[in-house]
Amino acid sequence: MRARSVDRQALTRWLGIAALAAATAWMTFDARGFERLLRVLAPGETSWLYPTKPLTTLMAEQIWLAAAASALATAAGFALGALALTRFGIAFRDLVLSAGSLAQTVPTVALMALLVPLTGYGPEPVIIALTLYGILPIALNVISGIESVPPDVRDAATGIGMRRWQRVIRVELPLAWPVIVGGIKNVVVINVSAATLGAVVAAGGLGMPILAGFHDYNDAYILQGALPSIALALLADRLLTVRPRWERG
Amino acid sequence: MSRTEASLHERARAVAVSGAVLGIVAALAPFGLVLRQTRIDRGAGVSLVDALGAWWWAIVACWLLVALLARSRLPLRPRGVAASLLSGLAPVLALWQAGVFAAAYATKAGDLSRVSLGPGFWLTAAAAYVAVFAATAWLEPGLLRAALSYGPFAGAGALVAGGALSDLGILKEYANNADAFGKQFALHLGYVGASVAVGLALGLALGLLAARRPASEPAVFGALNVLQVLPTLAFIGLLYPVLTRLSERAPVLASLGVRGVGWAPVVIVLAAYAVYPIARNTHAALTSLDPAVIDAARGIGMAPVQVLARVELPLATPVILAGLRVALVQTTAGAIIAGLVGGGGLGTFVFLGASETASDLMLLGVVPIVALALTFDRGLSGIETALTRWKEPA
Repeated sequence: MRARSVDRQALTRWLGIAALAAATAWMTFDARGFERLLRVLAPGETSWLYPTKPLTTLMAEQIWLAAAASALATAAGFALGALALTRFGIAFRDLVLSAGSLAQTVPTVALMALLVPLTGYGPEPVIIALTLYGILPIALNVISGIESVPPDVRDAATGIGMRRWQRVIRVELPLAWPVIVGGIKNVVVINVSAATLGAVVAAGGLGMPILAGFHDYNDAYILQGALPSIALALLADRLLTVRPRWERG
Repeated sequence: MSRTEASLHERARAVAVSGAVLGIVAALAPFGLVLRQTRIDRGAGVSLVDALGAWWWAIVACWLLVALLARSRLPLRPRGVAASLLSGLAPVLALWQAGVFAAAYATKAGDLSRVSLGPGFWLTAAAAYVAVFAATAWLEPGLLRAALSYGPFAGAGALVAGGALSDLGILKEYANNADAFGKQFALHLGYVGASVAVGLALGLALGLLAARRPASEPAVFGALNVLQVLPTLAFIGLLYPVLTRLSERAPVLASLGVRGVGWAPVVIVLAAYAVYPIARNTHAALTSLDPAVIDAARGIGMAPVQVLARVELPLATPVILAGLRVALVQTTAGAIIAGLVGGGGLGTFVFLGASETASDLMLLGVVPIVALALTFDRGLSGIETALTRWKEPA
């Protein structure tokens, strides 16, 4: 009985993922079909597709912004987390925790804008800003993952003669892995969604038609950016969130 | 003193020293202040050491003393007080002298010129945060520790209020936009207040529903989770055609200013994001209460409504407040988006500044947002601590 209900949950989840993936792919690749839908949703307009770039390019830009920032944040977050767990770095653990909550007070899009005088317009300020926002959550998960390894296990590894780095690689990391991966997945989901804001600093991505639509009062442009970016964000969330969010504590 | 406490105090030494080292690096870094011929000029950098004349040694001396104190054998209390005072003093001194430098530069280079706080200054502020964070760990929690932690903010506030910084770029932007600033600040606060009020009402209701009817839990949190994942711009975009048509059909709404852009989509979106943390914490708090307490309340003849209002909610308050705090901080930062969709608020300055690459104008929007968010965060967590202590006397 229990097994069957788990199966059903997994089935619903995969059905949802398949539907979202199909919707995202359809909007991206079938420009004519999507235009027909936009004509129905925004009958008052005279132009329905954002003229500057096709949706395939915008979608690729959106994914590239999120992927680049997530990869950089993962590398740097890992390094920072590992550093905070060394004998010297352990002193900085609480500081990392506190700085993480402090960073929440700076709006993502504000950091992107503030970077513009240094980097110019384009993808750079977006990738840097999203990377900076991703580092601390990933570092925190590395720290809490490694710290959650029971001391007995650690002692046993030392007891059978493992060196410190062997213990880290062969015992602690595998046990901490689910927590660490959970942190990375969360950052990816946030980045896929936040990359929409990159349009503010002319980085490309699915926010471009939305902003153009607000500017020209064109419902169709707005929906052309909003619908695929929502489908993509939900797809990333469903794909990467194994346990429902409210159970993660 | 326990062994772990002693080792915590030892560890804070290394953190304080690294804060001091960062402070000295920041003082020497090439972009302490940025000098511009006009407000949108790219500008040239000058290090704090070069800009601040004879005062540079006072700032470096602060950091050297902090490092010495951190390595010293002084008792915890004097060491903590002296090190946090000096660490907090360094950025306030730098800020004050940056104001003096800006006044001199303005008379030399003309009214159009601008002196802005550069990365080197912000790094000095970060160094002070690190060093104060470490040094206050040597003190017992209490009024003294709070005063030393927030003293630098008071110092910066006093410099602004006293007019010592009025020649810095950000305050020149303020002077040019003083009327608009007051209006947009109030509007920003209005967005935060309205959205969090709606979020609180819905969050309490949905959290209570999910706690009372466990069958509804996946639906409630599933829906809130979907809202949480929606990209802000796309969410507002989705509302645009809906609200535009609503306001065309219903003149009452139109007369209230409900349109596809403006206040309506902003408040709807921010409120939708604010529901989740409040609902989650309400649900978690209500489901984790000791059943014996509720049985006892029923046993003395309380009606279900009384049990909720007089027993359950008071016990759940600290946890609900923690959710409210997350919602407030998130909404204060999130309300910046209003500036992008014709809703005004402090975001107006950020996006206007971004379109002109005028950093000082952007900061005129960002600095008050961060200050507001920090105030909400610290204020509410203070209330949480007070409530928890009051409930569980040590």
